[in-house]
Amino acid sequence: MNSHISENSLLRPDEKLSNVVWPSLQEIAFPSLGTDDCLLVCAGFEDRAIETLRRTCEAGRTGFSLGIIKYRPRYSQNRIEELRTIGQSADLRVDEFVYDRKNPSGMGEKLRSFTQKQEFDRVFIDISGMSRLLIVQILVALISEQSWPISLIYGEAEEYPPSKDEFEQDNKDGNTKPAPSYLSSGIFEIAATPELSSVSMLGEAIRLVAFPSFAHEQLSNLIQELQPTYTEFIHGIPPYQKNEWRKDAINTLNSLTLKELRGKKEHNASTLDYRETLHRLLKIYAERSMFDRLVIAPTGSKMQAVAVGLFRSVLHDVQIVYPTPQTFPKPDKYTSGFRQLYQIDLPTEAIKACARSSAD
Amino acid sequence: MRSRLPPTKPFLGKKIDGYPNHVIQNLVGSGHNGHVFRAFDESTESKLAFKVVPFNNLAVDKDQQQVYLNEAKKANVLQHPAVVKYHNVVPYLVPDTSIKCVVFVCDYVEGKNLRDYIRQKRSDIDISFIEKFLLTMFGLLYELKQRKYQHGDLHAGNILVAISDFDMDAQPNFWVTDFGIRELTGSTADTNDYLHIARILKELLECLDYRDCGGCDRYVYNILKQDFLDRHLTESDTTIDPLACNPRALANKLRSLSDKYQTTTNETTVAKLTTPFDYPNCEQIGNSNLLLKNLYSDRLLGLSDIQARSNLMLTGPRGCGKTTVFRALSLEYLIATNNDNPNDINYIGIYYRCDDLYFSFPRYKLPKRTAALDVPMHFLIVTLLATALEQIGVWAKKYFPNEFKKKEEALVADLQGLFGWVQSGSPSEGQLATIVAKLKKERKRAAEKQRFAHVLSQPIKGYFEPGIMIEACQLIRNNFSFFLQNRPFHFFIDDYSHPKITQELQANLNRLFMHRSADVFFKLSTESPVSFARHDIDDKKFVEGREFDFINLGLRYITGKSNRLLEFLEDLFSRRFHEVTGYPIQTLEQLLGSKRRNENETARAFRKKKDRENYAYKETVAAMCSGDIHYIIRLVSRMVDDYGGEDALKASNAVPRIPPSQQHRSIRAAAGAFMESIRTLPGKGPQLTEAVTAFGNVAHSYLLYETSTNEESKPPHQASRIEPYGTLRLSDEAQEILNELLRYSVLIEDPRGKSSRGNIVPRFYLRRYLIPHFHLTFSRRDSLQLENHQIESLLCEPKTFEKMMSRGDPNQEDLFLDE
Repeated sequence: MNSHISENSLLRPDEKLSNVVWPSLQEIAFPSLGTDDCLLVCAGFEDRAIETLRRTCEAGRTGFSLGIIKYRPRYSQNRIEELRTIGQSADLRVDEFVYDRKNPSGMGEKLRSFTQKQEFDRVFIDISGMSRLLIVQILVALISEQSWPISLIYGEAEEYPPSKDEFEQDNKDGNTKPAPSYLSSGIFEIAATPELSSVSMLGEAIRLVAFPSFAHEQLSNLIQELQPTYTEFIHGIPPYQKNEWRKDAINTLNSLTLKELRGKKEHNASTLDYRETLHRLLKIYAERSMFDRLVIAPTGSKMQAVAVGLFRSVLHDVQIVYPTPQTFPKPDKYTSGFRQLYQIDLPTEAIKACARSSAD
Repeated sequence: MRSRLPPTKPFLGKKIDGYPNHVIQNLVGSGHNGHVFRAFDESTESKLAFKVVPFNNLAVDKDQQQVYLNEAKKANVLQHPAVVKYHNVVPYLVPDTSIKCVVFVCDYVEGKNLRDYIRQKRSDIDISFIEKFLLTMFGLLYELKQRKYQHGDLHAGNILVAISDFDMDAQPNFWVTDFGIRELTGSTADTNDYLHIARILKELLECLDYRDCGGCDRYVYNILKQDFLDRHLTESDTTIDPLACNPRALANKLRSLSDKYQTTTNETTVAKLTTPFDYPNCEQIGNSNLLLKNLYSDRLLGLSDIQARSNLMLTGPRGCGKTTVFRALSLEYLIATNNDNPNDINYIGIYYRCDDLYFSFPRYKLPKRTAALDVPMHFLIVTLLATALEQIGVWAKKYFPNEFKKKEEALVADLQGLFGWVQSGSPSEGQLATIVAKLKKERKRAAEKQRFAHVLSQPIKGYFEPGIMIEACQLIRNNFSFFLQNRPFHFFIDDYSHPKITQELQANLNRLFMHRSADVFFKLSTESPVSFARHDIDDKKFVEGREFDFINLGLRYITGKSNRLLEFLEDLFSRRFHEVTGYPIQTLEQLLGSKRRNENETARAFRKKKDRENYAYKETVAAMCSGDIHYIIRLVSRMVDDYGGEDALKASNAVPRIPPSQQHRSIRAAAGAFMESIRTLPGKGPQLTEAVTAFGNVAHSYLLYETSTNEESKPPHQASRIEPYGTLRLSDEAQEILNELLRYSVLIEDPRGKSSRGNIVPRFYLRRYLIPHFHLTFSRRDSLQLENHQIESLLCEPKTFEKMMSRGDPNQEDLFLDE
């Protein structure tokens, strides 16, 4: 074998992405924001939505730029006022953006143009209170153009709904009531946005990759609307033993939908360590991208949505869809408390190098 | 070496010995060893290439012209048409200098070298370009191997890409120059031609973006990368790789890749059923056309109307077979299933699924500037044309190879002209595959432009108007008139449904779809009559019967003759039972038995609260079908599961195998589950459930307490449809709920109903699948006749409606006040 060819052997973008050294999640007390940095944070209603900002400011960090993303439709419980107050007290430069869940197109571009104009040293993205679709949108928009470092901040909640007791009570044998949907209920639509769309693989069968969750309506609606030929499900494995029951519970909740599907493939990946999901997606891509039109619905955990975002920032031939919830439960039915803050410094340059094709 | 090259200027305008009429006109290019000039003889209009190499760059002794000539002769012995032949070798002293050179006089090839081509026309390089390059090289390597000769210095700089506007035959478009130059210049670099080709292949593959390639091209890319680049071309030990240094085998492998892709695709697609109820809908079958063939029944109601020469709007509940029939009528399916004999093909059917439109144009709104209107139109046109040309190409090569070959380039040139595209000069330019690839690239351009359609500073140019599609189809038919003359185009556009394909996007695209022409027809399927916009962007209204025909499969099944429906279902299930080897049941009758339904008797039984199997036997299953075949398959599947599955079926010989009482329970449970699925529909699911529940309960109360009019036998009132007394006028809210009920085919509209007051009014049938849930019958005799305000109440305040309208005792009157 002649070495000079193999040494520089040709790599597809997914193979390059697979070779990137992906950093693990680093436990932090608060992110080290400097005055030339920016923090993007979502005004959700969970406890953890404000925790990153609160801890950063309490640690004496001031003067940085704060981008607050407000949700539409608005929920009175959203913690926008708390974010504003903390921002004002810490003397932050605050900009606000509206993210309309029912018309999500273009949000990534808005934030990209904001960060580009300001030329920050580093952009910190707090995904703790962020919609999964928005996580993907932001990562795709910022990584593709950004020339400065990006760090992700993730606040892990103490408790995730439903509790084991609640679930068992609701799903007892003989309970004839419809299965409750815990994280959200109803589906507004299966959202697609032009920036996460792909024209590749015209006419080929759809292979849907989705993440079953406690919001079982998301999965059933995805199947109903997209009618995929093939399905691959990535089941989330919680990082803590006390939550291990959740995987089986989610399976039970989605069993009606799962049971009917022929030719499905099932995988497991951590809900916290995004690398497992990323490598799983890359494997699916390597095996199937020449046969099927890949469609991914980031319906799993937020860190799994991060994996989808990183994946899609390079593989623009993959279609992203998201079953937008109709309504959310009251905040007391959502995550509560705060367990740990994590930071990931993304290897932005390496990812961009994967995204660049030799053809460019 | 390059530093020893003489200046080029002194050569211009000069001649060399032996070529008195050829004037050196211009420099074509310079390499490490010499310059190449173009020399032209005006008297004969002939061109020659003069490759000028200074003596200092030659390894052999100076002035040994015979040595050079011998090397040149070796190349001339080669017969492969890609070899650039030598005419002569002439010593030459550069004017006004003391620099001695040798001029190699060769054929002049109009074109550019591959290195420049890659640099300048990178985006024109695609898989078919690379395949053509490799096949040319393998052909050449084959001859070199036979003659035990090698080039020794192959690189992108001495491979020429020929540009000919008049290339009618199969002359190669890649040319190789500089045979023997390596020996003369004494280059010490690696001489293995295979390695050189590998290096060029790598350069070529780097021009492609894998993510933008189609499926087959991706497959070929991967094989070229993994097998050819990393193994066959770089391995010289034939015991390790039998294809190493074996150009014939390499060419054969390369030629087989498209077929191999198809085989691999077939291996990985679903091939057979494991139970008769697998893949109840067409989308799940995916690209497995063979399976579709085995499951598709041509007894489908309305088939002949679907194939008529007219534009069509086809609707019907989800799972009614719209996709199945559209796909089964497409050329792609016919080719894949070997049903593509030209004698049986009356039209060219092209299937397109609108998911593709939805992904690129979600929530589409009409743009403020007119030019942007054509962006989605362009996307659609290039997509349909690419698909059509691809399928026609496959079919024509199979049945009309000579006619196809004769006209292929002419068609491509005509289309390029129509599109206003500049010729690239690529060797593969005249191929249909190249224009298909180019059309597919246009999809991306349009989809990306759409994101900025509202940004006024973004120019919008070069996007097709609807007329281009019709003209392009005519060009295809004219050029391929030998086999397309009497075959119109039928474009089957599947799932053209609001809200996915918004009303505004439909209004835009209807400029094309509602166009009436003699040989291009658009067949649109949409999930309900309300999911189709019957107008265009100028608010021109499209009229059924004028611009398009309209078929509601749901209504056909409800109002059609029950025996035809039953025949269709029996055929469908027989196909499925036979598809599973050793399945214990072969017919629907074996499984469910047969008993003619008597709806009056059933209704009376309800009144007497008789515990009997009101919903059983194959006739009931047929009666439950509103075209929603998918649900019927799932229903029968459920019956089998509830009975104990295949093992239980095998354990008995009873007919019917599933007892009627069991069938009844399964049917009721399935109907209940369907009601539950309505509740979880996106948007107004719960409201729809309440409205339909109110209607069902009221209809049931009528069955219990009201008597049907105009019947001597005074049977119970059996309504499963709503009939407005007069023209329907609803509030926006009520209309929205009604539209959703129609969209999901919970109600099925008969637009030409006649009310008791003699008005033409739409009537709304309850989906038959739900009838068992409300203890109703399948009789179509009676209606629940309602005033406007009652319908308004049913939709917006269903609980009030139910309270007011339910018949609790026979003397109770309608409590609504007339308005």
